[in-house]
Amino acid sequence: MSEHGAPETIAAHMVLSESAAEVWRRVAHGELTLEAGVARVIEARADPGGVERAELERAGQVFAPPTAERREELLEALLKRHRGQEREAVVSLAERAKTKGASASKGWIVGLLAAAAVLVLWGLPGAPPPEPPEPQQHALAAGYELELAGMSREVRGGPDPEPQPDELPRFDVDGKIRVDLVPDDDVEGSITVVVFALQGTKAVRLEVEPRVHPSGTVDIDMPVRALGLSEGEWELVFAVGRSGAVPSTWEEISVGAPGYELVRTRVEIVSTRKRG
Amino acid sequence: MSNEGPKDLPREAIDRALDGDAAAFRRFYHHYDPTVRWAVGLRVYRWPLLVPLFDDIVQEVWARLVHHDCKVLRYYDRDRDVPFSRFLAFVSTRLGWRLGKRHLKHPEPELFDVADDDDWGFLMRMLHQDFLERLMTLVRERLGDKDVALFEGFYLEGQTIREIAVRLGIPENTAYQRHGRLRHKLSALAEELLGQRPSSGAPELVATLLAMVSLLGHGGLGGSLAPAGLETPGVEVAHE
Repeated sequence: MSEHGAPETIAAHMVLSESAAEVWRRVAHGELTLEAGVARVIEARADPGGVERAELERAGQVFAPPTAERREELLEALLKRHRGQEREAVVSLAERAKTKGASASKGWIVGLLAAAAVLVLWGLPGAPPPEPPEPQQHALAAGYELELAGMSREVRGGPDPEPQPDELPRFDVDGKIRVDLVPDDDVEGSITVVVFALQGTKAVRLEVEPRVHPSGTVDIDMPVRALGLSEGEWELVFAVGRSGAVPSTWEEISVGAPGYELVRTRVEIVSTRKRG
Repeated sequence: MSNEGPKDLPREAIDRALDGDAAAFRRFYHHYDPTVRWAVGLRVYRWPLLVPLFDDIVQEVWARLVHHDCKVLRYYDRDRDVPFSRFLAFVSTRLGWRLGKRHLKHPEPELFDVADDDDWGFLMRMLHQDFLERLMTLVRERLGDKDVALFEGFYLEGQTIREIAVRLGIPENTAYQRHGRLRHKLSALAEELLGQRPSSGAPELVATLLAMVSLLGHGGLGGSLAPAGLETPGVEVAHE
């Protein structure tokens, strides 16, 4: 037995045994509506005013059951991955979260309704219920893939530009980073992209100057320093989609939203000057 | 864990699902996915940065559950009279915690290959009846305040050792060393208890548990046991 087992199991026991956990369990299993669940959590607190609205909203996003279509979609994705990639069980978070079609649209609506329920129960005066989106208007299923260029050869230790399987793409902090976002097929209509860099508990929106081609391909070619990336490992999240649908802040990002797609990659920013 | 999940599927149905029967697995997935999502969600919703990625993390947990012919799930021992859904919830919430910390680039969890991990069998041993309640009582009795704070900050609130060191006002290296000793201490306590026959009923233990929970207080929405001043730090969102 490793020494991780005992503390992790005790912690799991404590988390799963909390009084609020039972409420969320009933919500997750469809035994209780989200609205009723939120109300019970608020009531159960000695100081209801101490319940943070943001935390309730996050709970709503997490514990509201997905639609039957969405659950089926997730099952299919799991089976497909399991059949094809038994050699690698870990579903990389760098994998693009690709959701398409009506079920994804419904998932978004469910998420909005969940957030609305939280706001109503929070008792915010005048908090307007969100307007359900018109999914088809902004729907996007372009299948964007990401291509990186400009990696530092020197810090990878040789002239071979192909990185090793477990190696993060490395970029010199004094160099440039080039990103191409390429759709499966040409995409008509206006496309925009917003980029976030994640490190630890920090989410930073990067100010980028993307070039959008008529085919829908987006390329970004900028100095690393101009992006604000410092040395270290970063996860870059690209929200690419219809103008007006792409969120401007990290908090608004939602996996499965119909108006844009998320493409992620991890990179390492290094300094070659230090080593030389 | 006092929570009662849905009734388990019949034993034969679970066996067929784990043995690769496609129809049985579909039924298994639809029956237990709410449990997995709930157990993972209890970890993820404390980390604002991870909430938008919740579906991805749940998929990642499921992928690990079914890896190597569902090896992890085969550690379930029905002779121990523990519901399968309870075992599944424990496994899922532990995986969710590990994957969440790794995704946040927390340096501490050593995410060894699940296929080589025998912790899941150990977990099955620990799930016996009121064992965990008795273990929690021992934890409270034998750990000092700083160890309790370290345990809650790291294992419940999702803080890094560095963050905890700052909050406790101790050097980071000291916090790492203390964490190592804490892990060893908790493992020793668990082994000590596992060497004893679990008691049955034991209402006094439930009372002790409740007293402990009351003492520790409820620091967060989900009834976090973190003491004041150890709240989960919010995500810093900067726009540059």
